[in-house]
Amino acid sequence: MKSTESLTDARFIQRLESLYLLARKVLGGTLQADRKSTRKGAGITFADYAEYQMGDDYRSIDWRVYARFDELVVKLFELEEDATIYILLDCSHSMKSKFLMARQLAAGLGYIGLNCLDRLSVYSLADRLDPILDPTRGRARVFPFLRKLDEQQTVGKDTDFTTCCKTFQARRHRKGMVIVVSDFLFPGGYEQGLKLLNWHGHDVYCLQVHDPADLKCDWKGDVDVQCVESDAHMRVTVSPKEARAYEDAIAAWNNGLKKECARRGIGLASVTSEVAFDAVIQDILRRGGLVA
Amino acid sequence: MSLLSPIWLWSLLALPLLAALYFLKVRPRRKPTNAYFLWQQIYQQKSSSAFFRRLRDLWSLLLMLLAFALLAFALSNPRIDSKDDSDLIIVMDSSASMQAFEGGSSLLDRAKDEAVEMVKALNGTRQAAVASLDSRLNFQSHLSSHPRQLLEAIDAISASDQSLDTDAMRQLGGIVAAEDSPYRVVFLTDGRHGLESYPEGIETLVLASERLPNCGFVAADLQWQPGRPGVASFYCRVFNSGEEPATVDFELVHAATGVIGKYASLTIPPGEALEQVYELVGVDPGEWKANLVVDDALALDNSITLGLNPRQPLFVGIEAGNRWFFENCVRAFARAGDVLQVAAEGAPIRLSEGPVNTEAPMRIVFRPEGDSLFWSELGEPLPPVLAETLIPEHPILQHVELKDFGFPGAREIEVPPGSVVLMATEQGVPLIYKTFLEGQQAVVMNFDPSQEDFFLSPWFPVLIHAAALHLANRENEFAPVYATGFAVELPGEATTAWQVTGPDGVNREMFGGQSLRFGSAGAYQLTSEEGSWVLGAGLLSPVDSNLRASEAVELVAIASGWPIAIWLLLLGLLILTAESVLYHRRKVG
Repeated sequence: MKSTESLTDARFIQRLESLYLLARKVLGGTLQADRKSTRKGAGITFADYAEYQMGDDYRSIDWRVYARFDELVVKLFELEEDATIYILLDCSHSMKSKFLMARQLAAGLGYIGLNCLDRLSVYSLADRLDPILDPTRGRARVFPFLRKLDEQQTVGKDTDFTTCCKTFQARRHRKGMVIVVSDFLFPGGYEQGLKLLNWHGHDVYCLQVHDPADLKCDWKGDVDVQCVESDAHMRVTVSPKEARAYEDAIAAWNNGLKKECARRGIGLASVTSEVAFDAVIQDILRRGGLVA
Repeated sequence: MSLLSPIWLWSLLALPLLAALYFLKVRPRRKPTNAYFLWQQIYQQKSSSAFFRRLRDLWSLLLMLLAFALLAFALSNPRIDSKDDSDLIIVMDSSASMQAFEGGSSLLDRAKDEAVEMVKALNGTRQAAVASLDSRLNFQSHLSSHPRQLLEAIDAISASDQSLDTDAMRQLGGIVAAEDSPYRVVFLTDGRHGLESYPEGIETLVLASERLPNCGFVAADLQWQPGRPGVASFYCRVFNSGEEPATVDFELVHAATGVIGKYASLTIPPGEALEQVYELVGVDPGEWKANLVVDDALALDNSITLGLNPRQPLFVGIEAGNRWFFENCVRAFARAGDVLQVAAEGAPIRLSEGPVNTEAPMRIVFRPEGDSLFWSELGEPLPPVLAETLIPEHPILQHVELKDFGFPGAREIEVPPGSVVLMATEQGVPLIYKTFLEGQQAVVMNFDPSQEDFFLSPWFPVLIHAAALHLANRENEFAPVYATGFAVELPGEATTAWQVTGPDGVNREMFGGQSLRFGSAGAYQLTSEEGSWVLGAGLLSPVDSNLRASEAVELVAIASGWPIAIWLLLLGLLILTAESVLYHRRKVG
């Protein structure tokens, strides 16, 4: 990797810092473990009232309400807890042409997460799930995290997203935000994997990174089409008809991902490897997150 | 089937190399893809069978090899052996009448179009040759199956100014007359020839209409009237081949001065000839043109050139004791052109009797006597002899009859080496001979003309006249006009130089004894030491001017079609195209 493309390069880190500052501005507050949880518990921010049940903390009974309405209700407060961010980075060989972009995105998101004192884990997706960065937190872990990302290579053979998701779930029971950075060109499909992640209660976000060359077929004639992952190949004659069929197929594949994410409430952002990664993250932040 | 160029079959040895190159050529470029599974889905949906896909390259290779093999066979030029495998000789009538126009094109152009169609129809399947026929048979190409060569030969043919020669026609007939002749002769003509019928075996295609309107000179003459200086007579015969009477204007013009010698209007009945004689008074010698002012099918016979040459007398000096007889002999033919004239002195021709004491370039000696260059030894007088003519066709002897003449006064004589003895005794004593020594030439008559009343014999002036004209190279008087194709022998010895300028303006040097052929119509200028003559040449052919066609022999169909090589070539190209469309439609890019 060139020095200018290094994730530990000073200029790159400057860009990450500016993203972090933008994140603070956009999200507001100190950002210290400031993740709103859906669970209610001990906290300082009032969330709701609930009917008193046997076993509830009587210190949380709102006596004023009792005085006015003669009903025992307890005050519920939003539980404030530190979030866990899981980044599943697709490191299969199909990512070779957009691997830098994918790592930059992962670096940007991980940098913000670490600076916000969130717990961060990074895994590589390929034919199996491998850890890139074990769960960690704190600003001091930024450079090790970036170095690990910098050293990461594309690995494996056929990407098996479903198996990787199963492995992930077996290893990590703690719910968190799962960001999948991939091209989502999984021969076995993405539905099962997303379903698993969603079913286990994770907040799942998909960052789909395209290589523009993948979206269209501009070569025709006799070709030996070779899979970059498995090295399988077949000799075909690509006519305009087949070229159109391929473009339709990949467009349908991406539309299917969009629909699947929308159906499951999974956030999705599709970017091409030609767009600057920080512009992508800024856009995500301004939109208030990843939406399908 | 036979192969004309079987050596090309060796190119089939290149097939294995072609196969090797093919496999190198068809190896497709590898294209890595991130969505290989999508490509798999696409091609699983295609209906083509896996079996065909496996055989795809094999089929492609087989097609390529088949195309190459077809091209190799095409190069070997295969031919189907047919019954009619005779070679074709396309003969085009290039005689003068083919210059006639009908329907905006000349008959020769029409013949050329027909010949071109024939060659195209042959298409290289058979060998053919192209020839033209006018006064002679001219082969324009060798036997060839190469269409382009034949077409070029056809294109090179042009109509001549000469008539169709019957001997040449018979020569053409001789080509097919032989039993088992390997040739078919197709004759493209307008049907005007001097034969009663075409030679057997010649397939004739007549291109002209039954009758074309045409007027033209078929005979002409222009001569000085004897004994009337400055007066000449013009004779012409004009033929009308049309179906209506033709009224045409006629003019006779001096080519150099433009002076019109005669202008008249002629009315010629249809299918007949009109003869006219005109007297021309006070005309100048030189080149004259007779023109018919008419717009008809054939322009060549509407004009004719004639030479009216000034009288060029031969002066003869008499060196004889008995002058009266000799002078009368010299003047004997004055009325027939006044060629020989008696001169007092300085004459180039000397007519002498007895001893020779003077020098002269030309000399006729009777009764040789004394010492002379022209004989080395004179002996005793001979008894009456029986003369033998050694060269009867010699110009000096061809008009005289001396078979029964006894040659009185003849003597034993020794002639100089190189002399030409025309008549001699049985013992070989020369009686009349011609000799040439030290720039002088002489005809020696070894007898005494005063005996046996030879002075009174009609052969006496004829013999002198013939000898004088022969010595002066004037034995062949030129006619004012000749028919094209006719040839005259130039007078004089082989050393006598002639400068001949034809109608094309090209000057040629010729020598006495050579034949001058009048190939084109127009004026011919002849110059030698003896003088200068203008002669004319014109069509003057009743056959060619009479534009009425004769019956045509039915033309047998000529086997036509594209040669097998062309079909093989086309099939090969079709297979290559199909292979390209099926397997190599696009370059990967």
